[in-house]
Amino acid sequence: MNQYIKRIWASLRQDSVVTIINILGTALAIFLIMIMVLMQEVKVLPFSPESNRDRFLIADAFAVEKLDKNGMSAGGLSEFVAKQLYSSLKTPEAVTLFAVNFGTSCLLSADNSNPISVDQKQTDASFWRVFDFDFISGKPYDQAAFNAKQKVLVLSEGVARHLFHSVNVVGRTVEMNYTPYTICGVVHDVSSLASLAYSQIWVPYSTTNIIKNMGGINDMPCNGPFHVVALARSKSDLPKIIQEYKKSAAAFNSQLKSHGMKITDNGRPYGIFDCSLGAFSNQKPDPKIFYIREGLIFLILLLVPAINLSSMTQSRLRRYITEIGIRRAFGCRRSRMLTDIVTENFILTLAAGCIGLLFCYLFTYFNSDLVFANITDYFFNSNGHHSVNFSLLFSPTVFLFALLFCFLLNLLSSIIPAWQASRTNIVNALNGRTR
Amino acid sequence: MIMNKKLISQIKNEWHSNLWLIVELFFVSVILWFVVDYVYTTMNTYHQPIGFDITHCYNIIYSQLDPSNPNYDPNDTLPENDFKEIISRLRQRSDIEAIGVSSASVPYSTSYIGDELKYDTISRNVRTRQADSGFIRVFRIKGAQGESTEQLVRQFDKTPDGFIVASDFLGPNHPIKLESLIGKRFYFGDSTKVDRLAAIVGRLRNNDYELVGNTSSVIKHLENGVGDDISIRVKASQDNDFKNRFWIYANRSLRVGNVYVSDIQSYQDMRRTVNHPYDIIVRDFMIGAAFLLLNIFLGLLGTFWFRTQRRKSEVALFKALGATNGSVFARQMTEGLLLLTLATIPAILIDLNLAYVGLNTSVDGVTLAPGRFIVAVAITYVLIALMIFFGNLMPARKAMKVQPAEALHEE
Repeated sequence: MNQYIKRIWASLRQDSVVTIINILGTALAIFLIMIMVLMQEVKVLPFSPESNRDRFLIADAFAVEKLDKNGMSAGGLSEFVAKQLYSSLKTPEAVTLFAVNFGTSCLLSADNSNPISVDQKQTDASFWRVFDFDFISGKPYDQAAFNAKQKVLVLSEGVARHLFHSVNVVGRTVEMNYTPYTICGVVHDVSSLASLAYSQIWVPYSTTNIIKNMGGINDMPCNGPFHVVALARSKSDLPKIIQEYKKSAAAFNSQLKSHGMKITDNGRPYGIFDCSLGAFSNQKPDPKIFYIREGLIFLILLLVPAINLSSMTQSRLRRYITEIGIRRAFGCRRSRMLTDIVTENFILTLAAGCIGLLFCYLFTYFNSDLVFANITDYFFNSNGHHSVNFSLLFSPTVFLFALLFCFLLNLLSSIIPAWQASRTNIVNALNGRTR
Repeated sequence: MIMNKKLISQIKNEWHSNLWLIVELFFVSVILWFVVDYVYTTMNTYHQPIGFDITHCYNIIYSQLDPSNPNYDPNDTLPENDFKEIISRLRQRSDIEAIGVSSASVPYSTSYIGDELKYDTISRNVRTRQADSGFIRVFRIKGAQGESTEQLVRQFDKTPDGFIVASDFLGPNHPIKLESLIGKRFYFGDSTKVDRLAAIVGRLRNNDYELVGNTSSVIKHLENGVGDDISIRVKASQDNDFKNRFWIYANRSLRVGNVYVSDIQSYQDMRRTVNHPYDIIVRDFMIGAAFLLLNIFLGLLGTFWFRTQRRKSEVALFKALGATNGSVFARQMTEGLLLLTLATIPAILIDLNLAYVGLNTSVDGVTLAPGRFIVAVAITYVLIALMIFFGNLMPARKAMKVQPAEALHEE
């Protein structure tokens, strides 16, 4: 090990320009690759208030078809359907229904001030069990409050500060769309990267007229604004819940048959990964297309620098050709030669990879809005608020990915030059000739 | 010419390290061509007019009070009258130049109503925009034959059963002239009601990235004067801090019965929202291109750095025989460009094949058009050549610094 580092140090001193170029090239590749990895990982890695992502089953849409194929309606779920299909499930720890109010503004004012537009999510009481919000003061609304249609709401720190210049506002009154509501809790601002939980205010959907706005075929209120998230007790429960859901879907389908309809869920509910692929409501997400696309991009991001580095590694190895000749003359095996060169290169790649990863972290932390820019950003009043916390960036998965890509890049860039160098004829090598 | 011959034999002699460079240049040339082709065609689309003039335009959004609201008036059963009252109050404002009411019509929106429009044997799918004539005024829509907005408004208003169609309705190269159909009877979908073609406007697109040649548009009269969107054009001189001023006014004076104004958005903001997803894609493609180019730069820098070290005595001899610094640099540059040309020839073949099978960006279903292909290949070549130039600067400077006497002395 020591020997490798000595050699790298020597080459750094002898060929500083080329070694630096080598490190820069590798760091650049790892930097870009890791940013791509992070862009996908924030969609699946757990962080508050979605710390239980790996135990989520998500139903963001479903479709009803007429049995005679003469009509289809796809979109979110109605309360009726969501309850029929999901609320009856026994295996999950909790099931929440919430309505997404995409792009429609909700007006909020306090003490007769001029109202401001905020993002609103209408939820049930279990919402606060499925998602782990960080309350600064107060507490969420419970089932009793929900059932009693109490006009209470939870708001984010940012909104509280904007309206009251304070976060100690529990018990005070705000007007939401000109209806008075009492504040029952204040939470830390939620990153819009937590797309399921994100909002600026949360209200019990029993207090609004949202369940009246339903669409469907044959007057069956099937589609609506609701999404469902079921929280499993453990990851191993997920298949059990899906089985149970299938039974409840089959029962619902036989009920629908008399109306000449059937439901098509396109494989929903999904785990967090399938959900992150973002399929349209009438489509199934296709992990294959995702893997092919990502694979192709990573291949390009690895291959081009690898060719680059190969060429430089080869030039570098030429300088050591006499040394290689001597080692071979003293009985060093070709395989040993090969592994030595690859290992030496790997240490260099790893060092460069660390630099790349460090830059990736710094860049992501200070430019999270840029890196995680999402197509839906400007639909939010907050224009998308993509803060990430460091715990997410330092997750072991991210490190593993970085290590994997360093290894791949090293292999791609050093195997051919190392192979050629180790096969050089001993006499030629001793003479400093490459052939 | 003699110099080039020498260069070619030099490249041949160093084919081993040159092969790496050529392979890299080849790969990058193909991928970069794909990116350039995408960005070029997309930017071309982006800079076409969308048919709407949105400067100083705002979209006013209204809502209805929730029945559970303490202010809800159960006796107010005709919200359309409340709506009309809001419009008439807006008309009294002196800073508003025009007001348009419409449904599924405004640009940079996501709502869409599709229909089938038929004339004789011609049938086309169209996007139906239901609007009053104020809508035409707000967005300063112009006629296809250069008619002014006011002329269009008059033509639209005087035919109550009339509609306006966009100039791309028949599609490219249709034998029938669209103008000859003005006043003719058309049918919408399965409807038996006759509609007459009143006027033709230029192409209307929903956003800057929407492909030319997508579904054509139709503007129809709005039924009963109530629509989903209220669009206003503010007098240019009054358009400073208008949103805030209007918001204070709206909150005080634009609540009629159970209907209230819930938001005002400038069309510039809506444009940003709708363009954003496309902006991200273009940005990502550009980052990819920059990454590839940086790699070319680093690769060339590294390889040529080695070369100048090894060719020290060569360069010295060259200089001793009277070569200037400029010719030393030119020689290295030519070497790089020759390699690039060698890599570009097979790359073009691949590009041609990719475009032929249609794996690149499609514009109106066309992926391979001579002009566009040549432009994309040329831009690709120039971009890489630029990187070669920059990658060469440092090694060439080093070569230029070679003192013939010293280098030859060492030899």
